[in-house]
Amino acid sequence: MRPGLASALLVTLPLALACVSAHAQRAVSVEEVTPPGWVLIDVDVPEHESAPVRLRFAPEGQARTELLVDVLIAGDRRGAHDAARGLRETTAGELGEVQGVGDAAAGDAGFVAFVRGEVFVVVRRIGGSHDAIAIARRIDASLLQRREVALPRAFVQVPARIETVAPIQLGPEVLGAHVSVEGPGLARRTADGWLVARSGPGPLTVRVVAFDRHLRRLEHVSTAR
Amino acid sequence: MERRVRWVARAIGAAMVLVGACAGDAGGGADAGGDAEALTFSSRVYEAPAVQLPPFIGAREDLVPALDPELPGFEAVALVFDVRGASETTCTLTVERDARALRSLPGTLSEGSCEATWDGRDELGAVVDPGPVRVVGALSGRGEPVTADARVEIVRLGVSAVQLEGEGRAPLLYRAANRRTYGYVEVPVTTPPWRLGPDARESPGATALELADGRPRPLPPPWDDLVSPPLDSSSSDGLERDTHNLPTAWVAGSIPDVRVTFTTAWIGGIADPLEVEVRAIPPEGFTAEDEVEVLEGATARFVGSRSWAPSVGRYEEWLPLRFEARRPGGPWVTLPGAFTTSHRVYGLVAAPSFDRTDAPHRPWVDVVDRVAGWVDGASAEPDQVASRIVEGVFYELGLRYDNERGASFYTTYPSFSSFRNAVFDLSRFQGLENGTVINCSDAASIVSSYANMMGIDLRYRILQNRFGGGFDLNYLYAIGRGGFARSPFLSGRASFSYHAITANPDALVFDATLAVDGDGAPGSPPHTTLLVQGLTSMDYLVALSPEWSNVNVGLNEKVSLR
Repeated sequence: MRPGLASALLVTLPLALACVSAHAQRAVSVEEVTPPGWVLIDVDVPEHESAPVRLRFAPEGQARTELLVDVLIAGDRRGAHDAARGLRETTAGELGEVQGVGDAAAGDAGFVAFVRGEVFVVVRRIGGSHDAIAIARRIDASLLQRREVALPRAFVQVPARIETVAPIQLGPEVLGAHVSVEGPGLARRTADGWLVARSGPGPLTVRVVAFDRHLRRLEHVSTAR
Repeated sequence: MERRVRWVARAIGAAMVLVGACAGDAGGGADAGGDAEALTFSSRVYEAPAVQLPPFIGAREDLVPALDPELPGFEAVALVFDVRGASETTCTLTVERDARALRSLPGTLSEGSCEATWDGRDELGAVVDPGPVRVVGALSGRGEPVTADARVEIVRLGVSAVQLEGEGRAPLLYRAANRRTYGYVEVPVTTPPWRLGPDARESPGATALELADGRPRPLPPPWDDLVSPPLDSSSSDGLERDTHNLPTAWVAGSIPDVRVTFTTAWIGGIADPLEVEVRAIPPEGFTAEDEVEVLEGATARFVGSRSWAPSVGRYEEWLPLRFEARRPGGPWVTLPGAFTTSHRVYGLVAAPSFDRTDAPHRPWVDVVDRVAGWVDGASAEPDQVASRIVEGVFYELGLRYDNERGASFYTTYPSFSSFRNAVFDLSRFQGLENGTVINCSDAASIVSSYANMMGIDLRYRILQNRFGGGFDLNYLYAIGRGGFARSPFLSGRASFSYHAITANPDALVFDATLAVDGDGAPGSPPHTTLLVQGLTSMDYLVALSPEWSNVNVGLNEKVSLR
């Protein structure tokens, strides 16, 4: 953390530590999901609880995203199938059936949506000439190896008091996060992570949605004075 | 008796000769002592001999009371003293402080005056420090020199902040500070867009007006980056807070008032005027709300009378601030030079029309700039500006319809089996980070978001066959696909399972996904390209689908932005 940010902090205890139940969930790591030859560039975290996390990949050695992989670990198989149906219904054209991927799959060489158990995945090619079906098969293969992994205990620290600017401390298990604020302030993503900047007096409700390295959704809401 | 008359005549004659001698040339006539009969009278008028007045010099009442040599546009002031009896003399004006001569200026003598121009510098060429000086005027060359003096004050005048106020001002938002996606920074209406001040990293002594080495601080030009505000690694939040010139957005036709904060600080301290009063002259088109003396930190408000954004567009305004000064009880004298700030303003149709009030639901700088460029002052009417947005999205962003499957790349629907609560990743779209292929959901998100930022109330609508199963299509020109086709899809499928559009409160449709055939026969060639810019729902549906009577226009929401 830069000295400038540190000097602006006025953090009082107790901090709001977001702890999550330690129950386990079948999951697969982002490393296992990453197709060979690709590098994770960024992560788009949705705010809605039933929306998938979007992983942004670039070919090794390049910086521009050419592959989007959306992953949703639903509560159960029905949840995953509901997500797949929702995608079909919000696609203006047709998605043809794709064989050999997941429990069920639809799409084409540039776009594949499939379900595997309680997991819903969409692979979108947005650059290059990569075969989305082949990539989907590799991802599906990794999903078959998913195992019970405990959810993180604590993943974020939000100050109980924010005078001007405060960084949001995210734990090492966090793959990506999105912070939003209600009240007189604004959350901003920086090269060092997220911070909240106050724009006036009054309580700030800070909402942090994150995905861990096993692509599970985590959420924290707290109010800072 | 006769001898007495001759004696009197002789006396009169002698007296006249004597008077004539005193007047100079007495002309012809009687000589002294001559007979009275020899007297003649000159026709010339008597002229008194010329009187040489002693030299006089005095300061004029309207001698410039003050000057700021650092004020932009200042070149020199005229120092003028009144003089009389100045023939055969020379005039010198000397600027002194604490009995030490700073500069000696040869004066130019003309009818009744001695004048010299002074650039506010000493003999070495350095600007004289703020504070009073004594100007001594001296006439010499005829007898003892005569002098007079007057007090003139060197001042340092400027502005450290300019706030633009008015009900028509809207906040702006930068979407990616330091090019970091989701790095939102808002410029609220309470923030003065123009500031001048030293950076925390500058050496001690730097002020708003002067760098640490005493040179005038350059005034900030309008900030050109549309995505990130200026940054400062030494500030608490990484943003530049000391010196900046940010754009502002205004409802077209609204009038800004200006509130300026004065500064008189220089490297040597605060230079509030000591012996003179200084006030700012309201810029042209403004009136002063109150008479405010220019002192460090004082603010003055000028009430505007003209809009800086008469329509939807991008405008540059210059605000020259001039000053005048007076000695106590004396006349106001305008000081040479002006402190001029420049401002970039955008015109909106109306206040932003989002349903949500939280950030980032604000006008984004890069979006407003884009639309302002498209409209370029042509209109502030909602439907006309919305039409231009449709045209711009359709033709000018390099977008193409997903003719493989019609899937969205920037819009998500988190509620399964429902189009509600759509989320549009405008941050990624503005950088085309998910590519240039879009579908109708994306196009409707783009058009409605752009419109809402400009204050146009367009809402997101979904077309579906009321009986399910999609609806057939007429010939359409899908965005980026070059022309009309029987099907927007490579597969040849000539139907949509659904279609997203935008509409205004009067149900006029604005759709940038496609152009329809406007020749009245949309089911067959030839075709006439008709952009969907405010078509009635009926006209649009008839052009879109042969089974238009089965198509239901549902939903009525606005997207949430990321």
